Amino acid sequence: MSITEKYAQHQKDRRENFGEKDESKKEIEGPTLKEILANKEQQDLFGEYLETEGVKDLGSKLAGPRLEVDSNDFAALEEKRKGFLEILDRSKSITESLDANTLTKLVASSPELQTIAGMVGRDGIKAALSKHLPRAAITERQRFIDLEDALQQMAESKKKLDEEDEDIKKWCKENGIAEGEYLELLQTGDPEKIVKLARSQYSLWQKIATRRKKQENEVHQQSLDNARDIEEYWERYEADMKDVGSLLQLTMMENPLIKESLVADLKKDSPEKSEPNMSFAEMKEVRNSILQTKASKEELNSAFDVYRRGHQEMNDDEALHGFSKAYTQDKLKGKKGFWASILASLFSSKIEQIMKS
Amino acid sequence: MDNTIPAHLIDQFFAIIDKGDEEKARKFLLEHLKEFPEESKNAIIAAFVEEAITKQADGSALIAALKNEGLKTAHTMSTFKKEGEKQAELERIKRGI
Repeated sequence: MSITEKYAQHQKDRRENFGEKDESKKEIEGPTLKEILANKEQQDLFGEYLETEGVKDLGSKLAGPRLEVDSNDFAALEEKRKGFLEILDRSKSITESLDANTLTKLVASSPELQTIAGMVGRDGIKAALSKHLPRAAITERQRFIDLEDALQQMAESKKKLDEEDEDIKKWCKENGIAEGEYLELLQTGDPEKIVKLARSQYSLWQKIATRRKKQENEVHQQSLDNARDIEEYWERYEADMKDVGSLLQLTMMENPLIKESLVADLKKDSPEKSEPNMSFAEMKEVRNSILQTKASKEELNSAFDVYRRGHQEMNDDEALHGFSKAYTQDKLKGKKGFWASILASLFSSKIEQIMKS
Repeated sequence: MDNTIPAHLIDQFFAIIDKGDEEKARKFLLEHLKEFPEESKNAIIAAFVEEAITKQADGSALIAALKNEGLKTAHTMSTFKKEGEKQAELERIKRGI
């Protein structure tokens, strides 16, 4: 499946899953072919897009040092321009969806992003994304699609969470469950106590949920003759209601420790839906398997020869650079997650380094 | 623009990988971020952002599902309690308590 077909399929899935509007016929504004070809950065990116679309000869022409295209090429390039602009448009939508509020929350959720924001500022983070995402959309399509989905899921969940918060407040009020039971503990800022509270409340919730399912069936058969039994039953019932209310109040807290603890417990109880991300250990294995074998240099050289034959318009440096990137993408195909992204950005330089040595 | 990462940076980073120290490897990327060429620097920043977005999305979805389940239980319990109270009241009336 070509990149354009894959993205079209993904957009169709999103329309079905999230009720998005069909914008496939929308005219996308963007640079003209002349403008693309006048800008080396855009021209290179367009070349990469054409390569992934299987139009390797044209891609190679665009990646070369001098642009040598004839009128037939222009017609073919014009035809491919729409698909290219669609991908650029999608990457632009991602950057735009990270508004100031979302970005602030995101930075607050990660100490590492806070460090980065301290170095380059929030605008610097956005600028880095604007420059990186168009290329990622073309060369790392699955990761890009996953990112689009994660953002969509984040927006959907936020809507749902806000609605649920209102319902929780209303239910607690109607049932006399006081707000802010945990505030005192949260104010102490003691991480150990906060995590302990979140964990114990979650475990209590699991017990209540199980017990309630069982008791709802039993209570109808319960005799109402013994007044003390009934009283005890309802006392317990009310205590459980209070605990359910407390757990719900806890889920509304913005405290990152509480969220992390709840999410960790919930993850244990829910099966992994998608392929797991590349772990640190796996990254080490992948790197070793490619770079630390005796045959690696020979393998690289022969793969480079094949690449070179298909990219004769490029000069040596450009060919080496293009090859290192293409080789890296091929070796990391299907891998995702933080370490896959990092390896993708460092690996091609390492390959260049080896080939030059 | 030359986007080749200086050899010493890659070698230092790969040496940390060899030691298997994930935390140190993450720290290295942050501490040396400004030494990476523009393209790699943007890719590293994007990797951190992408990770935070995925974490947030997964976490929010799980918490939303927990809230939903908790709310369902809460509503069932309060409805059930109201019915139980009504029934108990009727019993009391019947018995003249």
